[in-house]
Amino acid sequence: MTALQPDNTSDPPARLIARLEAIVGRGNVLHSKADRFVYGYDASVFRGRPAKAVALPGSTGEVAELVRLANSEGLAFVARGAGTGINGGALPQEDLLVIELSRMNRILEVDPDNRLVVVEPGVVNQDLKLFLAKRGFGFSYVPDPGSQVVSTIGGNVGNNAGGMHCLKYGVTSNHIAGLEVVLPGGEIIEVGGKTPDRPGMDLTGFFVGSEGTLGIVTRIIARILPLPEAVLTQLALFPDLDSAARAVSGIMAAGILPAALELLDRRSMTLVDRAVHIGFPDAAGSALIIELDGVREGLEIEVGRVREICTANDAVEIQTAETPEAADRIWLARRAAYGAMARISPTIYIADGCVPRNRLSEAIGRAIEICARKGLEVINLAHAGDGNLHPLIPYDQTIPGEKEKVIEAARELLAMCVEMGGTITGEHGIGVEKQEEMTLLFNGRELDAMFSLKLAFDPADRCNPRKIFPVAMFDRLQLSGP
Amino acid sequence: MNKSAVLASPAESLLGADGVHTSQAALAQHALDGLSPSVVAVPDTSEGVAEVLKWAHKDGLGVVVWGSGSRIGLGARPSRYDIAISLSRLNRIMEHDVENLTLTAQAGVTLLEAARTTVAHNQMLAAGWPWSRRTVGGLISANRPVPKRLLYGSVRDQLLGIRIALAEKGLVGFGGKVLKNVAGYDMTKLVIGSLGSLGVIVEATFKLFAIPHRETYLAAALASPILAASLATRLANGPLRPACLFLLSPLAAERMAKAQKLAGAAREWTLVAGFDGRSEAIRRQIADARALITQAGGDPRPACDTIGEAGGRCLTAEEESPPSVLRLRVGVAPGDVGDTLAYLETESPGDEPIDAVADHPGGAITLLFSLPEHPGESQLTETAGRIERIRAWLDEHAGFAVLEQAPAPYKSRISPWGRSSGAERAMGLIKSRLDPKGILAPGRFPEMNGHLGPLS
Ligand SMILES: Cc1cc2nc3c(=O)[nH]c(=O)nc-3n(C[C@H](O)[C@H](O)[C@H](O)COP(=O)(O)OP(=O)(O)OC[C@H]3O[C@@H](n4cnc5c(N)ncnc54)[C@H](O)[C@@H]3O)c2cc1C
Repeated sequence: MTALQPDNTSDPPARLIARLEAIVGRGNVLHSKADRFVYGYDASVFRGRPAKAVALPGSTGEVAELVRLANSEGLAFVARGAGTGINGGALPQEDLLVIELSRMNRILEVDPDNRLVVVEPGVVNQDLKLFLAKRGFGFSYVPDPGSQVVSTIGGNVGNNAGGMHCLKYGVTSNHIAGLEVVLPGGEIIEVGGKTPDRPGMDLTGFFVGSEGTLGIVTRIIARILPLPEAVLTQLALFPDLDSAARAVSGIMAAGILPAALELLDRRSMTLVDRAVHIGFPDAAGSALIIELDGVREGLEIEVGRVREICTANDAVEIQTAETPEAADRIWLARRAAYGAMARISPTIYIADGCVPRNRLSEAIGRAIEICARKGLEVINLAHAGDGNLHPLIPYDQTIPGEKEKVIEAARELLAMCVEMGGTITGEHGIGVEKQEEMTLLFNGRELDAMFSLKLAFDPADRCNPRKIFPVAMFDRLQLSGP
Repeated sequence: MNKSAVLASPAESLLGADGVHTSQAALAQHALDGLSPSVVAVPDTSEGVAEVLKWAHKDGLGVVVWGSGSRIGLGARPSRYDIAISLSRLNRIMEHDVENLTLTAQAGVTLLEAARTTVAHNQMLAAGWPWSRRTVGGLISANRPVPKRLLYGSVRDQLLGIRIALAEKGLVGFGGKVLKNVAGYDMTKLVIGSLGSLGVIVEATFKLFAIPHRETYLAAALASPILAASLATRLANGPLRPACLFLLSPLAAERMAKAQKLAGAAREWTLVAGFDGRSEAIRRQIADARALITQAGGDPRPACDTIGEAGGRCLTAEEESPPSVLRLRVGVAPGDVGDTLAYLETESPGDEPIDAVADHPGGAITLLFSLPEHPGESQLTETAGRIERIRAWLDEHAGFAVLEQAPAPYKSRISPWGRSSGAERAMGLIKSRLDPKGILAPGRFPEMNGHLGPLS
């Protein structure tokens, strides 16, 4: 992982700036010291190098020209959306060109007959949702990462973002039907499209989640779903984590597929309460938010079944929202958690791992132990239906050694997830954060197989260089040449 | 010594005598477009598959992988065909994780066998019909349309992880057992639709669903494919949650009526909507659907609670077609299904009624032409010309047409894939890394394998 680097890079040559400006226009190239410096940051706890320059293209053609220019200059480049990624994926690992897609933010087409939209990558997730809602299309774009008010669809595609509704509806990948991609050499290709199941490999699925290392996505065909006629939200409080986890298994075993199943532990409940005053009773040791959606008729029966299952698993209190406002209030308990945490700590590390659903409570218990051993605080949120845990670890980065301790704890957490039959990322991706942990999950041949595809598309490792794969694989490459 | 004898002994040293077949009957059974392999390898372990591939890679032998064989006709004649790998003995269910709703099965397990395992716990693999003899490996590599995709998604949405034998690198695994399972590149997706050209899938993990309380189908007769398709769109885009929406041409509807009382006997365009769920929800949806049908000028038939195997086969065009039939798999955007069917009616030979079924949400149309098995030159030219016109029309509508089956004389005249979509070069690049000597399905997918030049 790259530590904070002093800005010892020289100013970009005027010739390069002029050529960039010739492509994207004068106001759309950033190259002051301050600008270059801030692009060495993103929402992660990591730091990259300052950018050599930042270009903001307005079209696919401009992206392709930028990529070709970078190639001809022997310069690497990285795509960037809103920079809310937490794996450090958009951070420059060398002196390179940042291509920020925020100007390409047009919603190009809404196609209700095919239940699709066509958007540019810089469209903000929530803007697309609001657009669909305001125009009364009767459809929604479902993926809803916690960062949806700022993160871009392009960045969501880059990291294959998740959210609260993955149990029933899947992650970003399940909602993408096609892409236009500028490949690392500057060629523009289209994969997938409005027509499902084209013959041949599912290249769309392959590009989604490749974290900008195989090309730059310049257009996205995404699925939209008709709004459910009824959404019923419940909040169930349990004496401890175990009983909540048993209720989760019970709900699934009963053949009920909730749209969302979110879990909070006692510590997160306390923090949330302090921030937004939900009024959790003292007896509650964990909280489960259950959202069911679909055709009205069957739904009320399922809500009743969920209530029975929670009661059978010792729930101390169960609320069912009768109005949308009441549902919002229940959701506030979950959505406010990160902000509540931010009030008490200058920096928060958001861990992300998956275990089989039935081992979630055990995993959270062990996460708490791992952090306690290191003298760290931790609060736990989880997409319980997906077995996706998010321990949030607050720390003060001004205390020397503190960040390293957090990173060590995170490593142990991921090793635990793999040992329990899970994986090292649920939705945040690998970036620079987990590139070494890839070896926990994959053997050398598996890594080689993936890496060979990276090199097939990007032989010189110019497109978001030195990401995803263990650093040693790139070092070997430099020794032997591409 | 003939080639069979030469290849038999190294094969036997890898798999044992009972893992290798060289009888004329076995070889003929695995012939493709008149070409027989020299040996049929029938490994009973994943490692065995990997060993055979490693050997084939070393010696540059051409390999074609066989699942149930239901879609083996896809693709051109192999340019080299030494070894057929049959997955019939790779038929173990590795794990049914009841609590986490996942099933891990070897590639040769059929949907029927999977269903027998999961039904005991009231769970199902929703990737295909539960009675199907298709193998899970074949399902993935042919990317078969899932009948109830509106509710359960397609193969890409249900597949969580794979183990695959690669030519050079041997056995590797990607994805996993958890719902969010991708770290690094989503290699699992690449294998979907790859038709055995990247490696041999030996094991797959799928997510399972609870068996719905009830399933009900409703059929309606409509005056035209356009009306039927726009009704399908309305049903899919509103508050109802249909599991499937099929369109049947009058001829196909008649076949359906013979197999199953559902469609009624009338020779009319027919829409079949299926619903899964709780009885209360289904009752309400059937009532609403009926109202919509009547409003659209259609004639709803009595709903029925099962369509059985015979009915299902009609809906997804899985009946055995006689060898004289040419089967074209047409793909278009769902919103274009109605127009496409109307157009295809105009391309019917001799103004015969067309034989077509369409999975509306999948934009998947199966079109059957009955042809003389021993055609004269003019018949051949005429048929090839018709397919060419259909492909040109589809090109303008971002669609495609794949030749799934045809009598031999036609197959040599009609390209199995038609026009390329532009993404093939990227596919070729991927293929060149995972199967560097091109031993898997050689020559069968020239569009995929032929463009190995460097990307600009
Ligand atoms: C408070 C908070 C809550 C969050 N909650 C969630 C959550 O619930 N679920 C979740 O999954 N994530 C969550 N995230 C993580 C993050 O928001 C997502 O990963 C998001 O998808 C990143 O989008 P972005 O536009 O910020 O992309 P960036 O951070 O700018 O980029 C992310 C990656 O995608 C690549 N990329 C960006 N644009 C393109 C493009 N056009 N073509 C190719 N590659 C591209 C970049 O190179 C980089 O590797 C959260 C983050 C924060 C700070």
